[in-house]
Amino acid sequence: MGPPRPDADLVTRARKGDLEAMDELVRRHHAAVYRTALGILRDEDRAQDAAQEAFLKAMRGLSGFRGDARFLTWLLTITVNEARGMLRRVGRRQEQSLEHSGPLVATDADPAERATRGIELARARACLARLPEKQRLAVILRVFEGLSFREVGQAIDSSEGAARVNYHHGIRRLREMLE
Amino acid sequence: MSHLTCETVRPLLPDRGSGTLPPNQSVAVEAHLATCHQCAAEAEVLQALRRGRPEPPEELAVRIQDTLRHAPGSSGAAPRPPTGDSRGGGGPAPWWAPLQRPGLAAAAVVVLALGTAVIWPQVRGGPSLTDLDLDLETPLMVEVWTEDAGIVAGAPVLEELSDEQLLILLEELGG
Repeated sequence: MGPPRPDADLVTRARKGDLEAMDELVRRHHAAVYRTALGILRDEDRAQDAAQEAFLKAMRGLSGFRGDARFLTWLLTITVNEARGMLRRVGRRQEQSLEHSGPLVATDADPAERATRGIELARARACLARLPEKQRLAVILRVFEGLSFREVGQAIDSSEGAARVNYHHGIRRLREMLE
Repeated sequence: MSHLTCETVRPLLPDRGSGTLPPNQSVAVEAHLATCHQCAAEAEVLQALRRGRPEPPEELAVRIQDTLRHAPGSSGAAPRPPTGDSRGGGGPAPWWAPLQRPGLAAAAVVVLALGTAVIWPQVRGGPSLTDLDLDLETPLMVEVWTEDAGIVAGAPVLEELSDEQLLILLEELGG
């Protein structure tokens, strides 16, 4: 088995209708898309729906992907738009907290360790969920997905400088909440 | 080795956490963290966040892949080989395909006739649906017509109408 194919190769093949290439793109990026949608919607079911819609729109619009940015950045930009649109449609009142999303600790961990870590992780998630959206997204995209500040800016429709500011404000507030 | 400032180190901390820092930069960042309480505290916050990173349900990738394979208009729809899967195969059917079935074709004619009877008077400012007093609760008994019966399309519906309703309809259609 050789090194993994770059996204650009997979995109070229997916444009021609190669299903295996599309499957691989989904495998690689569905978690990032889901987390990004979850960061906006704060609801697991809706985040899954938004992730699905984002992939659908991305694959339908592959011809419009010029390769100026990384495929992941382009995909997350679509995801942000999709999730924000969904949030507008369902209304903010129905938001749920990110602290309730997903299993917090692996279930095979030691019970005592699990309890301790569970509290710690729940706290971290709860604090993240309390940040304003742009700060939350900047932190999620930078810390979880490893995007550069320039890419974060592209994804959340702001400048690189604004992405930096949002990130640093977000981290500072998280420190205040967690310490 | 040059010493890094806090302003240089902090933006690099996410890359440190994901292990993507170049080796020489990594050594410099670790050296800074060993002496800077503020940056070390920020690094701990990032670690706590990373440990709490939400993961998608296991079935999500398969769900998305399945959707892409069967969605019209996605790149995967056109070249999909016939698989025998009931959800797809052989490309999308034309919109008129259902009308090629005799029963549905007859039903379509009935709907067209009924639609004309109901909508046309409204367009012309004539009697409305309630004016016609149609019995909309009783299901229409639509037969599967033979080819010859098609020339009297609408007959089953017209039979249900009163003389007065027929006159209104004829007047509107003729006018």
